[in-house]
Amino acid sequence: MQAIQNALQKWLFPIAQKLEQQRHLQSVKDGVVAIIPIIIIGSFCMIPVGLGNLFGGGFGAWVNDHILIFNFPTYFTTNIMSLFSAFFIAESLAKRYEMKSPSMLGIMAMLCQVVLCVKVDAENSMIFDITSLGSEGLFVSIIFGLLVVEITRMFVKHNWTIRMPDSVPPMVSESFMSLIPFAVNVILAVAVALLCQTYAGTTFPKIIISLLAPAISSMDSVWAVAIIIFLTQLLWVFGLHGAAITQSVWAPFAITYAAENAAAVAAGATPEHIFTYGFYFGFLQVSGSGMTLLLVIMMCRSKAKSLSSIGKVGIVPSIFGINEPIIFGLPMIMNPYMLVPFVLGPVICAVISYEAMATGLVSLPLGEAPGFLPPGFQAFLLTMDWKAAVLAIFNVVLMGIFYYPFFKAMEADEVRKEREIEAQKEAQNA
Amino acid sequence: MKILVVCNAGMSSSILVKKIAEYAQSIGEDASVQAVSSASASDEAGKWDVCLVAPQIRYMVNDIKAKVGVPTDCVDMRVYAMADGKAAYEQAKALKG
Repeated sequence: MQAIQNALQKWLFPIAQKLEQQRHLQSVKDGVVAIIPIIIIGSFCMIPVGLGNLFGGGFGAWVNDHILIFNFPTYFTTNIMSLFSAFFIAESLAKRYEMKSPSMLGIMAMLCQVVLCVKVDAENSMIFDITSLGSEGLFVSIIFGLLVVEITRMFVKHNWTIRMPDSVPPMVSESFMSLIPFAVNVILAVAVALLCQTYAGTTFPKIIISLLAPAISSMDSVWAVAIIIFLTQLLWVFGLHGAAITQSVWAPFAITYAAENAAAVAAGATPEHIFTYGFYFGFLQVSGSGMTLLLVIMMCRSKAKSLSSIGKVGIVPSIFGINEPIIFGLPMIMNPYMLVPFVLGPVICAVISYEAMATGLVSLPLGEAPGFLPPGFQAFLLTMDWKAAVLAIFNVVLMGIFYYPFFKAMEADEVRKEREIEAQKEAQNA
Repeated sequence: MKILVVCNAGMSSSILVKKIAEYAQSIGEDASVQAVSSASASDEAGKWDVCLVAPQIRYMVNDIKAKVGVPTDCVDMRVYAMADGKAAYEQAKALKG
Protein backbone atom coordinates (compact mmCIF):
# COMPACT_ATOMS: atom_id res chain seq x y z
CA MET A 1 0.00 0.00 0.00
CA GLN A 2 2.74 2.41 1.00
CA ALA A 3 4.69 1.63 -2.16
CA ILE A 4 1.64 2.33 -4.34
CA GLN A 5 1.02 5.59 -2.49
CA ASN A 6 4.62 6.69 -2.94
CA ALA A 7 4.64 5.79 -6.61
CA LEU A 8 1.35 7.56 -7.30
CA GLN A 9 2.45 10.65 -5.42
CA LYS A 10 5.70 10.65 -7.30
CA TRP A 11 3.84 10.58 -10.62
CA LEU A 12 0.68 12.56 -9.88
CA PHE A 13 2.41 15.50 -8.25
CA PRO A 14 4.62 16.33 -11.26
CA ILE A 15 1.67 15.86 -13.63
CA ALA A 16 -0.40 18.34 -11.65
CA GLN A 17 2.56 20.69 -11.60
CA LYS A 18 3.14 20.37 -15.34
CA LEU A 19 -0.54 20.99 -16.06
CA GLU A 20 -0.49 24.05 -13.82
CA GLN A 21 2.59 25.42 -15.54
CA GLN A 22 1.13 24.83 -19.00
CA ARG A 23 0.28 28.47 -19.68
CA HIS A 24 -2.09 27.95 -22.59
CA LEU A 25 -4.21 25.34 -20.86
CA GLN A 26 -4.46 27.44 -17.71
CA SER A 27 -5.28 30.60 -19.64
CA VAL A 28 -8.09 28.80 -21.45
CA LYS A 29 -9.43 27.50 -18.15
CA ASP A 30 -9.23 30.91 -16.44
CA GLY A 31 -10.73 32.68 -19.44
CA VAL A 32 -13.61 30.29 -19.83
CA VAL A 33 -14.38 30.13 -16.12
CA ALA A 34 -14.33 33.94 -15.99
CA ILE A 35 -17.42 34.18 -18.22
CA ILE A 36 -19.57 31.93 -16.01
CA PRO A 37 -21.10 34.91 -14.15
CA ILE A 38 -22.11 36.37 -17.52
CA ILE A 39 -23.76 33.09 -18.52
CA ILE A 40 -25.50 32.90 -15.14
CA ILE A 41 -27.03 36.34 -15.75
CA GLY A 42 -28.17 35.16 -19.18
CA SER A 43 -29.60 32.02 -17.61
CA PHE A 44 -31.55 33.96 -14.99
CA CYS A 45 -33.64 35.21 -17.89
CA MET A 46 -34.84 31.62 -18.34
CA ILE A 47 -36.28 31.50 -14.83
CA PRO A 48 -39.55 33.32 -15.69
CA VAL A 49 -39.96 31.00 -18.68
CA GLY A 50 -39.32 27.99 -16.47
CA LEU A 51 -41.78 29.23 -13.85
CA GLY A 52 -44.31 29.93 -16.60
CA ASN A 53 -44.03 26.32 -17.76
CA LEU A 54 -44.21 25.12 -14.15
CA PHE A 55 -47.43 26.94 -13.28
CA GLY A 56 -48.97 27.24 -16.75
CA GLY A 57 -52.41 28.82 -17.06
CA GLY A 58 -52.76 32.60 -17.00
CA PHE A 59 -49.28 33.14 -15.59
CA GLY A 60 -47.70 30.99 -18.31
CA ALA A 61 -49.57 32.93 -20.99
CA TRP A 62 -48.52 36.26 -19.45
CA VAL A 63 -44.86 35.16 -19.43
CA ASN A 64 -45.14 34.09 -23.07
CA ASP A 65 -46.59 37.46 -24.04
CA HIS A 66 -43.65 39.26 -22.43
CA ILE A 67 -40.94 36.80 -23.36
CA LEU A 68 -38.96 39.37 -25.32
CA ILE A 69 -38.53 41.52 -22.19
CA PHE A 70 -37.42 38.56 -20.06
CA ASN A 71 -35.02 37.30 -22.71
CA PHE A 72 -33.58 40.68 -23.61
CA PRO A 73 -30.34 40.40 -21.58
CA THR A 74 -29.71 36.95 -23.10
CA TYR A 75 -28.86 38.57 -26.43
CA PHE A 76 -26.01 40.50 -24.81
CA THR A 77 -24.77 37.81 -22.41
CA THR A 78 -25.03 34.14 -23.37
CA ASN A 79 -25.64 34.86 -27.05
CA ILE A 80 -22.35 36.74 -27.45
CA MET A 81 -20.37 34.88 -24.77
CA SER A 82 -17.37 34.11 -27.00
CA LEU A 83 -16.66 37.82 -27.22
CA PHE A 84 -16.07 37.86 -23.47
CA SER A 85 -14.12 34.60 -23.39
CA ALA A 86 -11.81 35.94 -26.12
CA PHE A 87 -11.00 38.90 -23.87
CA PHE A 88 -10.39 36.86 -20.73
CA ILE A 89 -8.33 34.13 -22.44
CA ALA A 90 -5.99 36.63 -24.12
CA GLU A 91 -5.75 38.77 -20.98
CA SER A 92 -4.98 35.74 -18.85
CA LEU A 93 -2.22 34.49 -21.16
CA ALA A 94 -0.73 37.99 -21.45
CA LYS A 95 -0.63 38.17 -17.65
CA ARG A 96 1.09 34.82 -17.46
CA TYR A 97 3.74 36.08 -19.89
CA GLU A 98 3.93 39.30 -17.82
CA MET A 99 3.31 41.37 -20.92
CA LYS A 100 2.81 45.11 -20.65
CA SER A 101 -0.86 45.61 -21.48
CA PRO A 102 -2.93 42.47 -20.86
CA SER A 103 -6.27 44.26 -21.21
CA MET A 104 -5.20 45.76 -24.55
CA LEU A 105 -4.48 42.24 -25.80
CA GLY A 106 -7.88 41.19 -24.45
CA ILE A 107 -9.52 43.90 -26.53
CA MET A 108 -7.43 42.82 -29.51
CA ALA A 109 -8.74 39.26 -29.16
CA MET A 110 -12.30 40.63 -28.99
CA LEU A 111 -11.71 42.52 -32.21
CA CYS A 112 -10.42 39.39 -33.97
CA GLN A 113 -13.35 37.44 -32.56
CA VAL A 114 -15.80 39.91 -34.10
CA VAL A 115 -13.98 39.79 -37.43
CA LEU A 116 -14.04 36.00 -37.47
CA CYS A 117 -17.56 35.36 -36.19
CA VAL A 118 -19.74 38.17 -37.48
CA LYS A 119 -21.06 37.85 -41.00
CA VAL A 120 -21.72 41.10 -42.81
CA ASP A 121 -24.50 41.25 -45.34
CA ALA A 122 -22.65 42.63 -48.38
CA GLU A 123 -25.71 44.24 -49.90
CA ASN A 124 -26.86 45.80 -46.69
CA SER A 125 -23.80 46.56 -44.62
CA MET A 126 -25.90 47.50 -41.60
CA ILE A 127 -27.00 43.91 -41.08
CA PHE A 128 -24.66 41.79 -38.99
CA ASP A 129 -25.24 38.13 -38.32
CA ILE A 130 -23.88 37.60 -34.83
CA THR A 131 -25.26 34.13 -34.13
CA SER A 132 -21.73 32.66 -34.22
CA LEU A 133 -20.63 34.86 -31.30
CA GLY A 134 -22.49 32.55 -28.92
CA SER A 135 -21.39 29.05 -27.98
CA GLU A 136 -20.31 28.37 -31.58
CA GLY A 137 -17.56 30.95 -31.21
CA LEU A 138 -16.11 29.62 -27.98
CA PHE A 139 -13.46 27.43 -29.61
CA VAL A 140 -12.57 30.25 -32.02
CA SER A 141 -12.04 32.50 -29.01
CA ILE A 142 -9.71 29.87 -27.55
CA ILE A 143 -7.67 29.63 -30.78
CA PHE A 144 -7.44 33.36 -31.48
CA GLY A 145 -7.30 34.43 -27.84
CA LEU A 146 -4.05 32.49 -27.56
CA LEU A 147 -2.82 33.29 -31.07
CA VAL A 148 -3.20 37.06 -30.68
CA VAL A 149 -0.99 36.99 -27.60
CA GLU A 150 1.59 34.68 -29.18
CA ILE A 151 1.85 36.80 -32.33
CA THR A 152 2.18 40.02 -30.34
CA ARG A 153 4.76 38.41 -28.09
CA MET A 154 6.80 37.30 -31.10
CA PHE A 155 6.80 40.83 -32.54
CA VAL A 156 7.78 42.43 -29.24
CA LYS A 157 10.49 39.82 -28.67
CA HIS A 158 12.11 40.48 -32.06
CA ASN A 159 11.56 44.20 -31.81
CA TRP A 160 9.47 44.28 -34.98
CA THR A 161 7.72 47.38 -33.75
CA ILE A 162 7.56 51.08 -34.40
CA ARG A 163 10.13 52.74 -32.16
CA MET A 164 9.72 56.27 -30.96
CA PRO A 165 12.47 58.65 -29.88
CA ASP A 166 13.12 58.67 -26.13
CA SER A 167 11.61 62.14 -25.78
CA VAL A 168 8.15 60.75 -26.57
CA PRO A 169 6.12 59.97 -23.40
CA PRO A 170 6.05 56.22 -22.63
CA MET A 171 2.23 56.07 -22.89
CA VAL A 172 2.39 57.26 -26.48
CA SER A 173 5.38 55.18 -27.52
CA GLU A 174 3.80 52.04 -26.06
CA SER A 175 0.64 52.51 -28.07
CA PHE A 176 2.74 52.86 -31.22
CA MET A 177 4.80 49.84 -30.28
CA SER A 178 1.70 47.66 -30.32
CA LEU A 179 0.51 49.01 -33.65
CA ILE A 180 2.32 46.58 -35.96
CA PRO A 181 1.47 43.38 -34.05
CA PHE A 182 -2.13 44.54 -33.78
CA ALA A 183 -2.34 45.24 -37.49
CA VAL A 184 -0.91 41.80 -38.25
CA ASN A 185 -3.50 40.17 -35.98
CA VAL A 186 -6.37 41.96 -37.66
CA ILE A 187 -5.06 41.17 -41.14
CA LEU A 188 -4.77 37.50 -40.18
CA ALA A 189 -8.32 37.42 -38.78
CA VAL A 190 -9.71 39.15 -41.87
CA ALA A 191 -7.82 36.75 -44.15
CA VAL A 192 -9.12 33.68 -42.29
CA ALA A 193 -12.68 35.03 -42.21
CA LEU A 194 -12.73 35.91 -45.90
CA LEU A 195 -11.07 32.67 -47.01
CA CYS A 196 -13.67 30.65 -45.11
CA GLN A 197 -16.57 32.68 -46.45
CA THR A 198 -15.31 32.76 -50.03
CA TYR A 199 -14.01 29.23 -50.53
CA ALA A 200 -15.87 27.17 -47.94
CA GLY A 201 -19.05 29.24 -48.14
CA THR A 202 -19.34 29.29 -44.38
CA THR A 203 -17.86 31.05 -41.36
CA PHE A 204 -14.71 30.09 -39.47
CA PRO A 205 -16.61 29.12 -36.26
CA LYS A 206 -18.85 26.77 -38.24
CA ILE A 207 -15.78 25.07 -39.77
CA ILE A 208 -14.15 24.71 -36.34
CA ILE A 209 -17.35 23.32 -34.83
CA SER A 210 -17.72 20.72 -37.58
CA LEU A 211 -14.08 19.69 -37.14
CA LEU A 212 -14.53 19.35 -33.38
CA ALA A 213 -17.98 17.77 -33.60
CA PRO A 214 -16.86 14.26 -32.60
CA ALA A 215 -15.00 15.56 -29.53
CA ILE A 216 -17.81 17.92 -28.57
CA SER A 217 -20.55 15.31 -28.73
CA SER A 218 -18.50 12.59 -27.01
CA MET A 219 -17.88 14.76 -23.94
CA ASP A 220 -21.59 14.88 -23.14
CA SER A 221 -21.86 11.21 -22.27
CA VAL A 222 -22.28 9.22 -19.11
CA TRP A 223 -18.82 7.66 -19.66
CA ALA A 224 -17.02 10.97 -19.98
CA VAL A 225 -18.73 12.32 -16.84
CA ALA A 226 -17.95 9.12 -14.90
CA ILE A 227 -14.26 9.21 -15.89
CA ILE A 228 -13.96 12.93 -15.06
CA ILE A 229 -15.54 12.59 -11.63
CA PHE A 230 -13.39 9.51 -10.91
CA LEU A 231 -10.18 11.41 -11.74
CA THR A 232 -11.30 14.45 -9.75
CA GLN A 233 -11.95 12.38 -6.64
CA LEU A 234 -8.71 10.42 -7.06
CA LEU A 235 -6.68 13.65 -7.23
CA TRP A 236 -8.31 14.80 -3.99
CA VAL A 237 -7.17 11.56 -2.33
CA PHE A 238 -3.65 12.85 -2.94
CA GLY A 239 -4.57 16.22 -1.49
CA LEU A 240 -4.72 18.00 -4.83
CA HIS A 241 -7.65 20.15 -5.92
CA GLY A 242 -9.22 17.68 -8.35
CA ALA A 243 -11.72 19.95 -10.06
CA ALA A 244 -9.18 22.74 -10.53
CA ILE A 245 -6.89 20.33 -12.36
CA THR A 246 -9.37 18.39 -14.51
CA GLN A 247 -11.38 21.52 -15.41
CA SER A 248 -8.67 22.77 -17.74
CA VAL A 249 -9.79 20.00 -20.08
CA TRP A 250 -13.55 19.83 -19.64
CA ALA A 251 -14.62 23.38 -18.75
CA PRO A 252 -14.73 24.66 -22.37
CA PHE A 253 -17.03 21.77 -23.31
CA ALA A 254 -19.29 22.09 -20.28
CA ILE A 255 -19.70 25.81 -20.86
CA THR A 256 -20.40 25.32 -24.55
CA TYR A 257 -23.18 22.88 -23.59
CA ALA A 258 -24.65 25.34 -21.08
CA ALA A 259 -24.70 28.13 -23.65
CA GLU A 260 -26.25 25.86 -26.27
CA ASN A 261 -28.95 24.87 -23.80
CA ALA A 262 -29.63 28.51 -22.93
CA ALA A 263 -29.84 29.42 -26.62
CA ALA A 264 -32.24 26.53 -27.25
CA VAL A 265 -34.48 27.56 -24.35
CA ALA A 266 -34.47 31.21 -25.47
CA ALA A 267 -35.53 30.03 -28.93
CA GLY A 268 -38.42 28.08 -27.42
CA ALA A 269 -36.80 24.68 -28.00
CA THR A 270 -35.84 22.08 -25.38
CA PRO A 271 -32.28 21.93 -24.01
CA GLU A 272 -30.22 18.97 -25.25
CA HIS A 273 -27.11 18.76 -23.10
CA ILE A 274 -26.70 17.30 -19.63
CA PHE A 275 -23.01 17.80 -18.77
CA THR A 276 -22.89 21.52 -17.97
CA TYR A 277 -20.86 23.26 -15.33
CA GLY A 278 -23.88 23.44 -13.08
CA PHE A 279 -24.60 19.73 -13.56
CA TYR A 280 -21.12 18.96 -12.28
CA PHE A 281 -21.24 21.25 -9.24
CA GLY A 282 -24.97 21.19 -8.52
CA PHE A 283 -25.38 17.39 -8.59
CA LEU A 284 -21.94 15.80 -8.25
CA GLN A 285 -20.18 18.16 -5.83
CA VAL A 286 -23.08 19.05 -3.53
CA SER A 287 -21.66 20.22 -0.16
CA GLY A 288 -18.14 19.87 -1.61
CA SER A 289 -16.07 17.19 -3.33
CA GLY A 290 -17.24 13.74 -2.28
CA MET A 291 -20.63 15.13 -1.15
CA THR A 292 -19.68 14.75 2.50
CA LEU A 293 -22.57 16.54 4.24
CA LEU A 294 -23.99 13.48 6.01
CA LEU A 295 -20.49 12.30 6.85
CA VAL A 296 -19.87 15.66 8.54
CA ILE A 297 -23.05 15.22 10.57
CA MET A 298 -21.88 11.72 11.60
CA MET A 299 -18.55 13.25 12.61
CA CYS A 300 -20.24 15.94 14.71
CA ARG A 301 -22.05 13.24 16.67
CA SER A 302 -19.05 10.93 16.92
CA LYS A 303 -17.72 9.53 20.18
CA ALA A 304 -14.17 10.13 18.92
CA LYS A 305 -13.12 13.63 19.97
CA SER A 306 -10.77 14.12 17.03
CA LEU A 307 -13.62 13.46 14.59
CA SER A 308 -16.29 15.50 16.33
CA SER A 309 -14.07 18.58 16.67
CA ILE A 310 -13.32 18.60 12.93
CA GLY A 311 -16.96 17.94 12.12
CA LYS A 312 -17.96 21.03 14.07
CA VAL A 313 -15.43 23.18 12.23
CA GLY A 314 -16.60 21.83 8.88
CA ILE A 315 -20.38 21.74 9.17
CA VAL A 316 -21.29 25.33 8.26
CA PRO A 317 -18.87 25.68 5.31
CA SER A 318 -20.10 22.25 4.11
CA ILE A 319 -23.67 23.52 3.84
CA PHE A 320 -22.31 26.11 1.42
CA GLY A 321 -20.32 23.65 -0.63
CA ILE A 322 -16.90 24.13 0.99
CA ASN A 323 -15.49 20.97 2.56
CA GLU A 324 -11.72 21.52 2.69
CA PRO A 325 -11.85 21.29 6.51
CA ILE A 326 -13.20 17.75 6.13
CA ILE A 327 -10.88 16.74 3.30
CA PHE A 328 -7.78 17.85 5.20
CA GLY A 329 -9.10 17.30 8.70
CA LEU A 330 -10.70 13.85 8.64
CA PRO A 331 -8.55 13.52 6.49
CA MET A 332 -9.80 12.18 3.17
CA ILE A 333 -6.22 12.27 1.95
CA MET A 334 -4.51 8.87 1.83
CA ASN A 335 -7.22 7.52 4.09
CA PRO A 336 -7.65 3.78 3.43
CA TYR A 337 -11.08 3.77 5.14
CA MET A 338 -12.52 6.55 2.98
CA LEU A 339 -10.87 5.66 -0.33
CA VAL A 340 -13.70 3.46 -1.66
CA PRO A 341 -16.75 5.63 -0.83
CA PHE A 342 -14.97 8.91 -1.59
CA VAL A 343 -13.69 7.87 -5.03
CA LEU A 344 -16.36 5.45 -6.25
CA GLY A 345 -19.47 6.90 -4.56
CA PRO A 346 -19.54 10.07 -6.69
CA VAL A 347 -19.07 7.95 -9.84
CA ILE A 348 -22.26 6.04 -8.97
CA CYS A 349 -24.05 9.34 -8.25
CA ALA A 350 -22.83 10.66 -11.61
CA VAL A 351 -24.27 7.69 -13.49
CA ILE A 352 -27.60 7.96 -11.63
CA SER A 353 -27.86 11.74 -12.16
CA TYR A 354 -26.91 11.53 -15.82
CA GLU A 355 -29.38 8.74 -16.52
CA ALA A 356 -32.12 10.53 -14.55
CA MET A 357 -31.76 13.39 -17.03
CA ALA A 358 -31.18 11.24 -20.11
CA THR A 359 -34.41 9.32 -19.45
CA GLY A 360 -36.34 12.55 -18.93
CA LEU A 361 -37.10 11.90 -15.26
CA VAL A 362 -35.42 15.19 -14.31
CA SER A 363 -35.33 18.30 -16.51
CA LEU A 364 -32.11 19.24 -18.27
CA PRO A 365 -30.05 22.34 -17.35
CA LEU A 366 -31.49 25.56 -18.79
CA GLY A 367 -28.09 27.29 -18.70
CA GLU A 368 -25.97 28.05 -15.67
CA ALA A 369 -26.80 28.80 -12.04
CA PRO A 370 -24.76 30.15 -9.13
CA GLY A 371 -22.96 27.65 -6.93
CA PHE A 372 -21.82 27.53 -3.28
CA LEU A 373 -25.45 27.23 -2.15
CA PRO A 374 -27.07 24.72 0.24
CA PRO A 375 -27.84 21.29 -1.30
CA GLY A 376 -30.54 21.33 -3.98
CA PHE A 377 -30.61 25.10 -4.59
CA GLN A 378 -28.19 25.16 -7.50
CA ALA A 379 -29.86 22.09 -9.01
CA PHE A 380 -33.27 23.79 -8.81
CA LEU A 381 -32.11 27.15 -10.19
CA LEU A 382 -30.32 25.29 -12.96
CA THR A 383 -33.35 23.34 -14.17
CA MET A 384 -36.41 25.03 -12.57
CA ASP A 385 -37.50 21.49 -11.75
CA TRP A 386 -38.16 20.51 -8.13
CA LYS A 387 -37.21 16.92 -9.02
CA ALA A 388 -33.67 18.16 -9.69
CA ALA A 389 -33.40 19.46 -6.12
CA VAL A 390 -34.64 16.08 -4.90
CA LEU A 391 -32.00 14.35 -7.04
CA ALA A 392 -29.22 16.53 -5.61
CA ILE A 393 -30.34 15.77 -2.06
CA PHE A 394 -30.76 12.11 -2.97
CA ASN A 395 -27.08 12.06 -4.04
CA VAL A 396 -26.04 13.49 -0.67
CA VAL A 397 -28.11 10.89 1.19
CA LEU A 398 -26.78 8.06 -0.99
CA MET A 399 -23.23 9.21 -0.28
CA GLY A 400 -24.08 9.23 3.44
CA ILE A 401 -25.13 5.58 3.15
CA PHE A 402 -21.88 4.76 1.31
CA TYR A 403 -19.80 6.49 3.95
CA TYR A 404 -21.62 5.00 6.96
CA PRO A 405 -20.01 1.53 7.25
CA PHE A 406 -16.53 2.86 6.42
CA PHE A 407 -16.96 5.70 8.88
CA LYS A 408 -18.01 3.30 11.64
CA ALA A 409 -14.86 1.24 11.08
CA MET A 410 -12.68 4.35 11.12
CA GLU A 411 -14.45 5.72 14.18
CA ALA A 412 -13.91 2.48 16.13
CA ASP A 413 -10.23 2.72 15.28
CA GLU A 414 -10.07 6.38 16.39
CA VAL A 415 -11.89 5.68 19.67
CA ARG A 416 -9.49 2.83 20.39
CA LYS A 417 -6.48 5.11 19.69
CA GLU A 418 -7.87 7.87 21.91
CA ARG A 419 -8.43 5.38 24.74
CA GLU A 420 -4.88 4.10 24.42
CA ILE A 421 -3.50 7.63 24.63
CA GLU A 422 -5.60 8.35 27.70
CA ALA A 423 -4.52 5.09 29.33
CA GLN A 424 -0.90 6.00 28.65
CA LYS A 425 -1.38 9.44 30.21
CA GLU A 426 -2.98 7.92 33.27
CA ALA A 427 -0.16 5.40 33.56
CA GLN A 428 2.36 8.25 33.43
CA ASN A 429 0.45 10.25 36.05
CA ALA A 430 0.13 7.27 38.35
CA MET B 1 1.91 42.30 9.11
CA LYS B 2 0.17 41.85 5.79
CA ILE B 3 -0.70 38.23 4.98
CA LEU B 4 -2.12 36.93 1.70
CA VAL B 5 -3.80 33.51 1.67
CA VAL B 6 -4.28 31.83 -1.72
CA CYS B 7 -6.53 28.90 -2.58
CA ASN B 8 -8.24 27.75 -5.77
CA ALA B 9 -11.29 30.02 -5.66
CA GLY B 10 -10.54 32.14 -2.59
CA MET B 11 -13.46 30.43 -0.82
CA SER B 12 -12.03 27.94 1.66
CA SER B 13 -9.07 30.22 2.42
CA SER B 14 -11.48 32.92 3.58
CA ILE B 15 -12.30 30.72 6.60
CA LEU B 16 -8.65 30.69 7.64
CA VAL B 17 -8.29 34.41 6.93
CA LYS B 18 -11.00 35.21 9.43
CA LYS B 19 -9.34 33.10 12.11
CA ILE B 20 -5.87 34.60 11.50
CA ALA B 21 -7.28 38.12 11.80
CA GLU B 22 -9.11 37.18 15.01
CA TYR B 23 -5.99 35.68 16.54
CA ALA B 24 -3.80 38.66 15.61
CA GLN B 25 -6.35 41.00 17.17
CA SER B 26 -6.55 38.89 20.34
CA ILE B 27 -2.80 39.27 20.92
CA GLY B 28 -2.97 42.96 20.07
CA GLU B 29 -0.98 42.79 16.84
CA ASP B 30 -1.81 44.67 13.72
CA ALA B 31 -2.47 42.34 10.79
CA SER B 32 -4.24 42.70 7.51
CA VAL B 33 -5.19 39.37 5.97
CA GLN B 34 -6.90 38.62 2.69
CA ALA B 35 -7.95 35.58 0.66
CA VAL B 36 -7.65 35.45 -3.13
CA SER B 37 -7.99 32.84 -5.86
CA SER B 38 -4.86 31.41 -7.48
CA ALA B 39 -5.90 33.00 -10.77
CA SER B 40 -5.70 36.51 -9.31
CA ALA B 41 -2.46 36.00 -7.37
CA SER B 42 -0.52 37.88 -10.05
CA ASP B 43 -2.47 41.05 -9.23
CA GLU B 44 -1.08 40.93 -5.69
CA ALA B 45 2.62 41.26 -6.51
CA GLY B 46 4.53 43.13 -3.82
CA LYS B 47 1.42 44.15 -1.87
CA TRP B 48 1.99 41.69 1.01
CA ASP B 49 4.63 40.70 3.54
CA VAL B 50 4.07 36.96 3.27
CA CYS B 51 1.88 34.57 1.33
CA LEU B 52 0.30 31.32 2.56
CA VAL B 53 -0.95 28.74 0.05
CA ALA B 54 -3.78 26.26 0.71
CA PRO B 55 -2.66 22.62 0.75
CA GLN B 56 -4.97 21.52 -2.09
CA ILE B 57 -3.00 23.67 -4.52
CA ARG B 58 0.43 23.02 -3.03
CA TYR B 59 1.71 22.10 -6.48
CA MET B 60 1.33 25.79 -7.33
CA VAL B 61 3.51 27.10 -4.48
CA ASN B 62 6.52 27.92 -6.67
CA ASP B 63 4.32 29.49 -9.31
CA ILE B 64 2.49 31.67 -6.77
CA LYS B 65 5.76 32.59 -5.06
CA ALA B 66 7.08 33.92 -8.37
CA LYS B 67 3.88 35.90 -8.89
CA VAL B 68 3.56 37.56 -5.48
CA GLY B 69 7.30 38.06 -4.96
CA VAL B 70 7.26 37.62 -1.17
CA PRO B 71 8.13 34.67 1.12
CA THR B 72 5.55 31.99 0.34
CA ASP B 73 4.79 28.62 1.89
CA CYS B 74 2.12 25.96 2.00
CA VAL B 75 -0.16 25.75 5.04
CA ASP B 76 -0.08 22.45 6.92
CA MET B 77 -3.14 20.31 6.15
CA ARG B 78 -4.18 19.97 9.77
CA VAL B 79 -3.87 23.72 10.36
CA TYR B 80 -5.91 24.40 7.24
CA ALA B 81 -8.59 21.86 8.16
CA MET B 82 -9.09 23.23 11.67
CA ALA B 83 -8.74 26.85 10.46
CA ASP B 84 -6.12 27.23 13.19
CA GLY B 85 -5.53 30.99 13.13
CA LYS B 86 -2.80 30.86 15.75
CA ALA B 87 -0.67 28.25 13.97
CA ALA B 88 -1.11 29.93 10.61
CA TYR B 89 -0.22 33.35 12.05
CA GLU B 90 2.89 31.92 13.66
CA GLN B 91 3.85 30.24 10.40
CA ALA B 92 3.45 33.58 8.62
CA LYS B 93 5.57 35.31 11.26
CA ALA B 94 8.32 32.71 10.99
CA LEU B 95 8.18 33.00 7.21
CA LYS B 96 8.65 36.75 7.38
CA GLY B 97 11.66 36.18 9.64
